[in-house]
Amino acid sequence: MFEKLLLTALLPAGIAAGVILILLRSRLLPESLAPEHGLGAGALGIGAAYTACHLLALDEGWPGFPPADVTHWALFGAWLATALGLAEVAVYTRFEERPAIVQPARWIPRIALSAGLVFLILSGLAALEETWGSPSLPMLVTGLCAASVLLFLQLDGLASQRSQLYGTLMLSAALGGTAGVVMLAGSAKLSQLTGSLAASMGALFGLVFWSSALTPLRGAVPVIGFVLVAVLVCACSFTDLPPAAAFLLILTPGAARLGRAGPLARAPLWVSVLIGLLGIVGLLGGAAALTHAAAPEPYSPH
Amino acid sequence: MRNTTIAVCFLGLLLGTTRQAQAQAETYKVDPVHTMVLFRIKHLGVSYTHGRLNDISGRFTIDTANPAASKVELEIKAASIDTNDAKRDQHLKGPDFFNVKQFPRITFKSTSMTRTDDAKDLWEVKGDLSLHGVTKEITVKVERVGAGKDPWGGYRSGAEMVFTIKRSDYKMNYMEGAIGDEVRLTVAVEGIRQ
Repeated sequence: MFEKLLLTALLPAGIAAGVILILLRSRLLPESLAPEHGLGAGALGIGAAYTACHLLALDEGWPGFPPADVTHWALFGAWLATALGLAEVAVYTRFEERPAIVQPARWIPRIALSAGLVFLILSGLAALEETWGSPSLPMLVTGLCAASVLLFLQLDGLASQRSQLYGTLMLSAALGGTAGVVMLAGSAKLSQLTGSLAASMGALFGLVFWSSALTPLRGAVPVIGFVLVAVLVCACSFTDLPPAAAFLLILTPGAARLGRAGPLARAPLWVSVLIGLLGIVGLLGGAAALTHAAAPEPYSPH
Repeated sequence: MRNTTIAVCFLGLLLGTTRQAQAQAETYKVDPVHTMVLFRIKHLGVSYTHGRLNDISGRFTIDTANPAASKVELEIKAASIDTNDAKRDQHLKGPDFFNVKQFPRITFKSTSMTRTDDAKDLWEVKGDLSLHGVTKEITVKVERVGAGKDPWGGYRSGAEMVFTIKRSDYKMNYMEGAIGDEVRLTVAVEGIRQ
């Protein structure tokens, strides 16, 4: 079991770093994917790392398509998100000075993929079968899409920092803490998948520390965002994670940005890290408390 | 007169046979209070963890004159799993194992029943076990324990079966190694004749 946990941490970190380094050295990526900054490599590295963890560290192998267990939609969502990340990088590189093109090209696919992923995961809920025709399902999907937009806004904010040392470190902490809360809610599997993202962020931190010119986090935002959306929707639907706790977890990347907000943008990095971590830990603590309080009573037929 | 007598006797024989056949095909409704579904699975290769599923319902029909016409249908609520530890039960009900919110029911429907030993009232039951979204045919040896009147005016019959399945056959592979693949189930059923 310990070896499994180690695999969850080392495998995605190793693959993320390896893929990105290979792509940087080999110059396989075209100019449109900004190879010198690792933008496209970031999307591919995180996508490959997550895929390896999902297929190798969970003991379940290939889930089949369509997957019988809807939690496996996170894998297919990650693949689409990797493609989306590459497309975003290509559009951004080509039309950097024209936000009227960049913004819709970014947000329309993100919202569409969010809606699709949420719908596919919710379709597995046996209790929802009776509500297919009612307005409650579209309202639920819309609400969850809005939450995913909020998550993406915060991830974009972290990824757009000039130095990605801070962003990757904070995201690693936020994702690691999220993995812990999801474990508390009752799923070690979903926790492993979130933990693999945290480990991948650790690898990105190492790469950015080695070369400050690299900005791989920008390309990786769609993969991180969609995997996190899938995990949190699964956790809320199939474990005992309360929606309020999931909302706090969505806010953790935003809390991290506090460390670089206003005058803190010019503060020493360690000060920003301390403040950012305080914000993250506060939100994680709240989510953990809500999750613990929501744990069900032991089953009794009487 | 003689033809009428023969006809009446024949009709009486026919009716008697039919009633006897109907009487021998008895349908029972599962009594959940006196029915147990117990399981055990290996933990870390060093011990067995036991548990039970508390919420079971169903019906079974026993036809001693024509055993092939007998049938069994059982349904268990997966969320009723109980291993005497709330956190473990929470984990088992989640997406790592039973995923009860997607797969709330475990069902068994017989496809054939054969009486293999009249003296010991042993049966072989083949049927479809549906668990975690996967349906597989299994064969189970069933011991019919007994049948008789109860103190409340009803008539009861019971049976017990012990069989083993592999959780990996039902795509429940998580934590291989730490938790065994083979699950031994003991199902003790009591039904009230309808």
